[in-house]
Amino acid sequence: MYNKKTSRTLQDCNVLIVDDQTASRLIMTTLLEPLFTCHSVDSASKAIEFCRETPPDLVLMDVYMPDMDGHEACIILSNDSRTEDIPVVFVTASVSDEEQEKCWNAGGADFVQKPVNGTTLINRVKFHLSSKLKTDLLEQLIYTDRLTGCFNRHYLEEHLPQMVKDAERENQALSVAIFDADLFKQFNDHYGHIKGDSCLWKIAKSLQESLLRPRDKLIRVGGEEFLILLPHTSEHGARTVCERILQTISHQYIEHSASPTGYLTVSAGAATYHPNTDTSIDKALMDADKCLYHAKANGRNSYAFIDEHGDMLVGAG
Amino acid sequence: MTELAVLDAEQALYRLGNHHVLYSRLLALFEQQAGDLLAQLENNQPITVLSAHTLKGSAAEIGAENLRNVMQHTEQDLKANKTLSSQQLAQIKEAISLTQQAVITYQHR
Repeated sequence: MYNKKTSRTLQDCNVLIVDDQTASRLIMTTLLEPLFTCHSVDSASKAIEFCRETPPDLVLMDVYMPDMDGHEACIILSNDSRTEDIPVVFVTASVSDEEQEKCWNAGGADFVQKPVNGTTLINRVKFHLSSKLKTDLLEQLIYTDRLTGCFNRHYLEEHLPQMVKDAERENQALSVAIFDADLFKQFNDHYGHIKGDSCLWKIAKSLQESLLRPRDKLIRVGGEEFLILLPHTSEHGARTVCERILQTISHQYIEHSASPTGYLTVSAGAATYHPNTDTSIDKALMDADKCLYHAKANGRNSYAFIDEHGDMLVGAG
Repeated sequence: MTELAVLDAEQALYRLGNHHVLYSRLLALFEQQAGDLLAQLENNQPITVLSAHTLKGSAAEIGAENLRNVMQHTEQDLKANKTLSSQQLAQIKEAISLTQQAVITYQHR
């Protein structure tokens, strides 16, 4: 398991305190610090920046702040895929009917009245964090392949549409690369399925380590087949990733008697989806698959990709 | 109408889980903010919504109910673009100095 730690405790949880008032920040930090990991900022815009860079597990949001108020910040956070899952608890002096309505409408998870009662604050925070931990764990379980620890097909089906939308909104190329272990049936036949499983685990680990950006996602799509989603990546970048991965795997020197090199190798196919053109992500996935097929037919331990002119090019690690 | 407490330290400490160190730091912060606002008033500088809001918050945290009430009305009036009357200004000054005295008495108890 290397995507995320399997079990987190309340103490590992990050709470972001957002309040322009020194006194309020001092109170909340002092009361919560012994139980959770606290961070604090003094404006709504700093809070949004913080959440995008390092999403916390919970935000405690003051309402009345100069420049941008808490409601507005909460709406921005709930409309951004990077921050939409962070629960926001408002901390507000006014709990009038109108104010309560505004908090819920902005997408708030709860509210606490100011001046805060320490016990209430601590217990509300505990409640929301416990529920967040359970949701996170469930998500991790349903989206993770148990053998290799990388994402599974279910993750792909749920998250690819959002990645495509992000690519379209940002007008950035999205590349896909498919990797398949060469002569893996022969590996299993010769070494047995237990060795085969451990080999798949090693491949997944190497693939994961070859990905240098957190936004790149590794998915096990079939028995010995892996898909990598590369947002903000052009044909050139996809080619670089293919080269790096072929090298990384062959340098693991996993013994494979049926392989011409004597060691396990992989083949790869890659293609790129450009938003706002007449192609689609499905076309890119099919092209990547065709490229993989070509690399296999071309003697394996190699890759093929569709370049920016639409031509298939072949390369080796 | 029952009179609001000038400084209900007991209630404020109860809310803070009897965290005396925290309460002392809040008192120190209050003294600084109250001093700043008084100086503003003495120099006939207009009070902003933010400075009224800040002092209202700090007063609420330390249990200065009377001042919190005065500052809440001040904040509301300023938000509604009303000009503060000289009577209101005098009331603010008085509420601040009463609270300051109560804080000093508490600190030397």
